Amino acid sequence: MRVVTYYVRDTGKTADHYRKKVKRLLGIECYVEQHPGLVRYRFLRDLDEKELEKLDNYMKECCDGERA
Amino acid sequence: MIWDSLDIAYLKQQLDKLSNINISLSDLRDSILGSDSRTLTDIYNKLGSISGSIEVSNFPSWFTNSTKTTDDILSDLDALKKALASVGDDKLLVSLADAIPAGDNVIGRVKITDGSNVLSLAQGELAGTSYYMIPSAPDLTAMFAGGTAYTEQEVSVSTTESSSSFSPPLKMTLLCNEGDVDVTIKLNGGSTTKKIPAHGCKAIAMWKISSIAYSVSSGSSTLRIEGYW
Repeated sequence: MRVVTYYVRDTGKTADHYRKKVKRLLGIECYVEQHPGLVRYRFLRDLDEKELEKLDNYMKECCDGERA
Repeated sequence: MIWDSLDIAYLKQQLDKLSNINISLSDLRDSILGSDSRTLTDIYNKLGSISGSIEVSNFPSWFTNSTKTTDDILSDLDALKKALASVGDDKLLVSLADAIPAGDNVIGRVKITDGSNVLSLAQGELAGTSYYMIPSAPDLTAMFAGGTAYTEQEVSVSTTESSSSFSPPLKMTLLCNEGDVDVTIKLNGGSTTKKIPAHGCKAIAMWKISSIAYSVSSGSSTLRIEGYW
């Protein structure tokens, strides 16, 4: 399982929102938890570099997300 | 299904302090001997000199008053006994327990029940309210190690309500209040509030948790959220 954590700006988006978006973006199922200032994904498999870049870009756009 | 319990890490931390009152016999002996190696004869002689200096004239006049009887003394002792009896057990307990942890002490109020109810093996008091508790909170790490995804996250809790959310919802959740003030929580976007007393835990099973909102009425605290999907 690949865990990817982002420090984010609080936007009011829930874990459910992030999970649905990322599933559409990457086509991979994941567990998501959202806390104040933090979003953490647990993917069922490792992400390759391209997928990780896509995820970084999406998180940057949606909530100023910086990968931890 | 919700269980309440003490934060076991906190309880252990406080119980560990009991070792402070442990003293070895050799330490006790050395303390009596002192740096000048006093002997029992020295102590006997010292006591003899003290007893020699005790004279009736040194006692308060009340004591030597010929009109006072042993019944008077007994009567006053009875009054003292009644005064002591009127001091609540809890006050005495707190006085003793103060030597162990700082702040409010609840350790001395936990008792093990007769086990007639499997869900209430321990009974205790948290923040003035009596609870039936399981003696320890489920160890989620051990229960689900190597299996389903497990999470553990500490979040700061302030007077402004914040929230954490999970997708898919957590199947089992453990919330531990690590601070000194009570934390109020609301689950799954509901308006019903639940309280987690200072250093208390709440384990939630068979109830999927998708969001937890938390706040304190004053000050701040830290909430440890554990769960598995």
